Amino acid sequence: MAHILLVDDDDLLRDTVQQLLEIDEYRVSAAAHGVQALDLLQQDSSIGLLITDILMPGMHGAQLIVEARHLRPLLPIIAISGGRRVLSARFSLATADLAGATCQLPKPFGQHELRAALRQALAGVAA
Amino acid sequence: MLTATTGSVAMPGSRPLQPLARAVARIKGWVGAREPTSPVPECLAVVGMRELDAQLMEQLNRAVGLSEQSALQLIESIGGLRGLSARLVSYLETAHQQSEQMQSGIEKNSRVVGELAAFVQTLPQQIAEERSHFQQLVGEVKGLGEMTDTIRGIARQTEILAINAAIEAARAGEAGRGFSVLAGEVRQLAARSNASALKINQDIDRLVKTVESSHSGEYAARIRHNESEAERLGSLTRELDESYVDMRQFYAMLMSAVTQNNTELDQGLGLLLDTAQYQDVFKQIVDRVEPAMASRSAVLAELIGQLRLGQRDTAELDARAAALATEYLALEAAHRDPDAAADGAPGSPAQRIELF
Repeated sequence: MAHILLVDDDDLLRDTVQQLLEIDEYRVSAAAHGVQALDLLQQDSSIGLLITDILMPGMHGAQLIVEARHLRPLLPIIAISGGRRVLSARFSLATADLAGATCQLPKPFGQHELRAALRQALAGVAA
Repeated sequence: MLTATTGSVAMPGSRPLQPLARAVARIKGWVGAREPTSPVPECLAVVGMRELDAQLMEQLNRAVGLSEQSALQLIESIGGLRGLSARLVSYLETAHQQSEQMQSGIEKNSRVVGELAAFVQTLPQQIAEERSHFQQLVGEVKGLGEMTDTIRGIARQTEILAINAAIEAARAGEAGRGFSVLAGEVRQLAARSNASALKINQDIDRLVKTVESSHSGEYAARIRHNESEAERLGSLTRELDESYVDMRQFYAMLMSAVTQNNTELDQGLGLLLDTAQYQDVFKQIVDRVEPAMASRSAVLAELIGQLRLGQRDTAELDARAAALATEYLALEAAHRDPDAAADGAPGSPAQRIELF
């Protein structure tokens, strides 16, 4: 199974998604912010997929996607976002799309939606 | 221009370069029509020119193939650029809607800030009223202090009267009139004490009412309103802070995404420019074909002239015609691989593209 790097500043959501992924036997590395994620991506070449939140303090998810694309042009990337009081999830995910995300997943999502997004993202790799 | 050269490449899906391909086919047909069909021995000059024609045709075909390939690449690149720009336009539309939402939020917050500013402006007057209220309370308390002084005075006089009464009692046997005077004084004191006590009670009642009114009715409502407005102010301040953070992130994200898209657009345009250089290569091929064709025409004209004059010895023209193809081949080889040509080696098939 693919080694997934999961990035979200929300501890509860990150832990929950990690558990969902581990149920499906994915190997998961987690990061709480973009800079930590980039470090992991540079150090660990076994990472085969990136799942990142978009609205995060410091380095936001769109910037992380751009940087990740420079490091690993073919890396499948799933952008997740639930928006905030002012910034909508629609805008966040559209930004992620333009920045180079493979597919987008609006929050909240369940295991079914997560699996579908993983299939979509990894389909390009298999092809 | 691409369209001027090919006439039909601008429309995606059409078969590009058809006019040029047709022209080359016509020349091919023309050359083919001049292949020997009669049993008459062929002139060597004609053989040389046919060799040259074959070389020229090969180069023209190469030019046509090159332009066709480049035009298809151009169409593909332009399609890619259109896709990128369409994505950007769609994204900017979403960003515009997002910014309008933020603007609406800011306008709403501005109105609330205005209301709160008006509320804050009323606070000095409210504070002045509070001060006046408390000054009144202090005055009432001071009045009670004066009453206390009066009671103390009464107490002192009562004490003196009691002493005097004791003394007069001692003398009671001699004269009982002193007691009646003292009794009168004590009665007056009792009356004054009673009046003072009554007044103190009234003042205390008034004070209690004043204090009670401070915590009920309009004043209490005002206090509750102030507390509510203060809470609203705190909440709004937090919202404004969040809005500011979100707005900063909005612009940061917008810049990241648009910059990324522009980088891809820039790369696409670079590729487009590289591909567009085929026109220069095409021109160079035609430029080399042109003098060869002119030389061929000159040799042919001289040959026809000689034959008209009945001169059968065409050895010199045969040699010149044979050299035409050799020279042209050498020129092409030098263009394809100038280093090898300089060494006298045959040219490599590598494409030499001269930049604009």
